Amino acid sequence: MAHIIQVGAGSGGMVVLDLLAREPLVSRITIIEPDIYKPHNVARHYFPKETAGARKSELARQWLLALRPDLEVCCLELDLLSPAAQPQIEEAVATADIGVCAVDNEPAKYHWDGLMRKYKKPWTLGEVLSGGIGGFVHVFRPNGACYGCVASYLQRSVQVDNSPPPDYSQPGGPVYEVTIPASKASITAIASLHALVTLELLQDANYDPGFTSVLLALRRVPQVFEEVLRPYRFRIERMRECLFCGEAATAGAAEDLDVALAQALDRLAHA
Amino acid sequence: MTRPSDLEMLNPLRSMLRHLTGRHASLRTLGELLAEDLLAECSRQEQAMGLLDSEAGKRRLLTVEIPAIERYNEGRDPEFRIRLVRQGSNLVLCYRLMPTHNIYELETRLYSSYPIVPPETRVLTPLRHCPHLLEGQTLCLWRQGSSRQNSRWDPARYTCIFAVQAAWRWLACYEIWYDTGEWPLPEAR
Repeated sequence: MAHIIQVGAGSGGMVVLDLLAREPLVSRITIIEPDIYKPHNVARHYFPKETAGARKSELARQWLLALRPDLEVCCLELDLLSPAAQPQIEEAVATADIGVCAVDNEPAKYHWDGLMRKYKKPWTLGEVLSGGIGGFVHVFRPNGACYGCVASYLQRSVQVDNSPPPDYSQPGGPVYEVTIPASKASITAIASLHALVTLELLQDANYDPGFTSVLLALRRVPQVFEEVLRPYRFRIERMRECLFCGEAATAGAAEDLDVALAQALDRLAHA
Repeated sequence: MTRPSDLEMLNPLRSMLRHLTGRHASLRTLGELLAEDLLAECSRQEQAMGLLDSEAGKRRLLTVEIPAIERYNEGRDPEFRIRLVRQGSNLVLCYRLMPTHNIYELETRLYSSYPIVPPETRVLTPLRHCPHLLEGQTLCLWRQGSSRQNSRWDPARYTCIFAVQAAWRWLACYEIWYDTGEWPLPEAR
């Protein structure tokens, strides 16, 4: 009987929830999602347009209970990054067996990583690339590489962005659109892999798929992906010098952070 | 990603949307959801945990960033030390650099979403318009897709001092460009 805590019930997160909830092993799901379902969500979601205006978390809860009436579903309609929401979120994280991250903004991913490391929970992350040309699934374990280590490694090793540089002759001119919506098919493909890896990790804490991150190319894009449906596996070690999880970052800071910070800022204001 | 400066720019639009959605019932059906989206995003960004009000942010400052600034300042001529000033939810590094012949006044801003969002550096000393210079004399130092490693901001490996070093390199290039008309570094892809 397992408790999953998932942040994000968007177009990808909902696919992951649907697949996880079908497994008898899963007995409890906590969903963190503050958003309202909008008419523009309909194209990539399970829910009809008549449900626009309802909370995504509530729609997700109803969907999951229709599949599994015995499932315990808890909705936290909270913003992951809101300071006021932290006590409630941390309380839920502390009782979970595994975390699932299905959000697409970087501050939220880093914050989720911090929470998972604080409570020593394994977690997974799915990311669909702009335009749905492919996507990543990542597996994180307590004491393993953190999201900072993985993002740093992949940024140095993988080229998935071929947008042009800025036009310096026109400061303030039009900016190249870097985010292109992905198709429902692309989102579902990556989210399904995300759910699969999550279930494997849930069933076996020592599960080793042979990678920390897997990148699946879904479309051929010159100079980015030359082959379709090709997986690229990356085994990424924790960086000793990582500024999120490495020795320097975790070395004992003062217990009263506010006092120590105020003193340090005062010192440097008069340097 | 909406930055604080963008949010400030959204204030007039926010007031207008509140006015419209409050007074015209017919507009509510048309624009309500979009307006609510925007207002919710503004409110979220304003309330989101940041560098100075989250445990992770404070720890990052105390264990990584502030020691790096203090190491930079150690033994340095007082005129060229970094001062760290709090401005609302942001921190600003105020400093001078002299890459070759001239002294430049700079500020590097750490937004509340730092280090996930890279620091932004602008030169306060007037410059001639040149390549790699953005609006408000902001230096173009980072682009995530760049083929040059030092041009991709990496929050797991770089501190704010890396931004100061990048600004020094940029100014050294600027002085060469000023004399020769050629930017000395090849364009990154």
